[in-house]
Amino acid sequence: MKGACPTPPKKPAKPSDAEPPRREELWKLLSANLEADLPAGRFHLAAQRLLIFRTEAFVDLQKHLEGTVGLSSKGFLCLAGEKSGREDHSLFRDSVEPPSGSEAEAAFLGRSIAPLSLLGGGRFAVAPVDRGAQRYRVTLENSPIAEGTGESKKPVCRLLAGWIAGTAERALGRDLLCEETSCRSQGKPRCAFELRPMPYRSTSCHKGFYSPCFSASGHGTMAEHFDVVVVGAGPAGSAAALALARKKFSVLLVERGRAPGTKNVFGGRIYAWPLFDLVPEWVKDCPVERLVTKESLAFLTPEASLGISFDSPKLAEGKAASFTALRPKFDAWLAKKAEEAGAMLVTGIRIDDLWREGGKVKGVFVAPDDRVSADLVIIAEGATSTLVRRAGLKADLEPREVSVGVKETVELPPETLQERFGLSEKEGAAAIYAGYASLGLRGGGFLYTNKASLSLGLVISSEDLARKKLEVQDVQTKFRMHPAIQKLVKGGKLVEYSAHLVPELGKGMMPRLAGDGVLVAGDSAGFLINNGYTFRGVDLAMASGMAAADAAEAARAAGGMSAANLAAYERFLRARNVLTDLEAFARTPLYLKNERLFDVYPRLLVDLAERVYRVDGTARERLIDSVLKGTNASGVSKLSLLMDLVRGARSM
Amino acid sequence: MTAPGEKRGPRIAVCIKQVPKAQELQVDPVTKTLKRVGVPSEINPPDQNALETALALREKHGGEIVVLSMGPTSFDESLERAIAMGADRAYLISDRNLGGSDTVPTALTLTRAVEKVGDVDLVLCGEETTDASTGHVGPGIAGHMGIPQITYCSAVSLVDGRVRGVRMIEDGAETWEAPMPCVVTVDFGCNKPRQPTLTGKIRVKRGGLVTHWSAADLGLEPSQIGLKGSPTIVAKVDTVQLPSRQGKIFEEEPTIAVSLLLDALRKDKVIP
Repeated sequence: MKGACPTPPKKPAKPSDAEPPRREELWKLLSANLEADLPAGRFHLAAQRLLIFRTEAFVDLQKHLEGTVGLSSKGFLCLAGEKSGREDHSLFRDSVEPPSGSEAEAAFLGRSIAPLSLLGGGRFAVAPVDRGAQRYRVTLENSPIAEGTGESKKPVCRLLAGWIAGTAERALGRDLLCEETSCRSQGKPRCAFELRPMPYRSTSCHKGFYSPCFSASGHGTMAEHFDVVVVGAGPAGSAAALALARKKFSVLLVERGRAPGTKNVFGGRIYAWPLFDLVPEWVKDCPVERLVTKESLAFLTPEASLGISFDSPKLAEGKAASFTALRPKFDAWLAKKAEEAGAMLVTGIRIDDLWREGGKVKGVFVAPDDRVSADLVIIAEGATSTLVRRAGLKADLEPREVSVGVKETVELPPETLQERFGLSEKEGAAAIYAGYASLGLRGGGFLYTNKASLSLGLVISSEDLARKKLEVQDVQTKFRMHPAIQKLVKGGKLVEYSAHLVPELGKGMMPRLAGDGVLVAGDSAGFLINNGYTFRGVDLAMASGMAAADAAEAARAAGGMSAANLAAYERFLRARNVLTDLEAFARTPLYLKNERLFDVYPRLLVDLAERVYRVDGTARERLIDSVLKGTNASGVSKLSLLMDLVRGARSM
Repeated sequence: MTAPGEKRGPRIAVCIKQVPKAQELQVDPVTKTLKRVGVPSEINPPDQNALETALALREKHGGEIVVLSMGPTSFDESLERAIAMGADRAYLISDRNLGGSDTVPTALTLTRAVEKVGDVDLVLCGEETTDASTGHVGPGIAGHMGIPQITYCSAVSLVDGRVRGVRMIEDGAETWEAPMPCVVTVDFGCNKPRQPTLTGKIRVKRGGLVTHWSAADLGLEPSQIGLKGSPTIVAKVDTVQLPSRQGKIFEEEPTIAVSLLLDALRKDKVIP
């Protein structure tokens, strides 16, 4: 790269070619992370699917895009590049050392950007332009896009500009703008890009990165270390922190919300079984709203409802007990237990990245001068975890993997609740609604009674919502206005509205659960069971947190938090019945993908009930005739009905 | 951080106050005073700018930042936040006898605290608080200590052992220099206060960085502080009821609407 450097010759920037061993090493890393599933025609790079196509195809696409949308195509291309740059950087980065001084920063940038050449980007070189203003010049000798485009009046390497910006942003931990100032396609010998600080975006609201401050006094550079850092103080994180603190680990529990539970959403019910082990005296002070003694399932059509209901005090007995709860109270309680056991809880901090060195997780990273080292990081940050992606354990979430959950909390006096649901003071009801509840989309409604409020909501396939172009709040309003629901919520005051993504595919969307110095628990790991009649998440989260603590203890005894030692996590997950239950219901998500279940069958059932129960003086028919007639009218063949029945029985 | 006996950078004292969040301000309809209990609070925003100024100076010159405040123990929350943002340690002067103090005893108390901390080179305050807006306390400290002051600074730097402050005036900017020790009050909004960091919050949790002092610890006599030590007497507090707007819209053709508007304004004697 000698000669490519634009700075005065008296002080040439250190060419990154001076480190051929590193290039070799990166190539090895790249090949090691490249997986090919030849029969299925899939390539993966660090768990992300890769598509290999000719540069000309991309150049064509770019030309069409520019022809259609004009100038704004620049932004699209740049953003796409930025996304890719960030992901690629997390693969190639070997350390997050905060460079000081622009010379060192340029060298660091050079090392971060150079790996892009391994992906076919060309040969890059970086040099500082204006030291004070943190501006850098990146040159590219043989841009594939410029070469593919041929002559052009304007620069064409938009995608690469974004790519460089995304990579540099990750490397330096601050917002950067990258613009191509001259391009080979303009007849220049090489392409040149200028990297400069983002002029307008404020640093405090963006991704939680703060302007780097290298204090002369050394403040802030003092390394904090914990045996384990747990990210997320939900049920999984707090359970892990509590169990670890009891096992005499030093534990830091970091929560993004102002307080635990403020960012969390769930339907409303917790199965208590893991608590008997985790907090044996839980009954004493756990913020239980009501113990569930009444379960029901109802099929809705626009006007009618057909339900079964199971009422038994046995439901609230022993380990099988379940209770309704409110997350701000429950999560705060569990986090407090972890604190009492000796874990340190820090709230109001979002962890954006893992601190990794040589493929091993060394801690958590907020900003270059704000990192905490740890032997083990447990990712328990919920369904939309970014860290599992940063750790290379999983690719981006796909719409088919998640549903959207919405929930309204409706205040009602306890007496009214007890009267409407036929409950005593401490008893609670749980209800699940299918069919018209979700307007026939895959998913369903739920209702739980709290002490002085109801939790009413829906979980709906995000794929279906997008396809039918429906807004989830409109579906929720229709659900709330259904006559069967109205008579339950009438007169109540809507005090809270919340929404969250729900992992939907269970075992099908699980990331790799353990890596070098890292474990994944709770929703981040996809530990959720929805088999149509029970929704389980919080119990699996707590049990997986405990299993993570078990795995950490075993790894410590085995000599360290290496991937090999942590691989026992799966065994502990089985021992605590997390994986076993997920596997038992592994077919359910696929079965529940069947739309007939949410649209046709509820109508069929309600229709049948009407035929059976309506007596209007006309000739009556036998029950079996009614069933057959209803089925015929529904347009579903008897064969598919039979097959759905068999599949349903097998998957549940 | 400064090793004992070896002073590498300036020791900066930042005086802060905890105030109700501006958007949550409520006046008690009965007592006509500001509600302070049960209202979300924050570090007085100009004091945040003073703290940010101190943090930036420490990044450049090293040294140490000591945060001082006078108030009830609920102020710990703000002192802890200051440490999480990067301050080295903090002192809260909290004492029943200080209740009812106006700006004179407040400035005296903070002066004594600055002296007790010792070897302070620079005292930074916000220009004023958002709940009382007197702007007295910073100058008061300079007065009690008998040291120079530069007020309403939007930029502060240390040059050759002296403080240089730029203060915005109506038709330009003045640059002043003063020897240290010195009091500087900082303009609201002159910089962007940083957010607390993870390591900062961990330091807070590890504890031991916020110390409480009583009035007696600072050698203050009961006659000097509280209501007794305060020359200000609040005679009356009134809230002003703003007349509500009528919000009349003339929807006619523009030319007609204008003449109708003019008629209406003349009728109400708004214009002659």
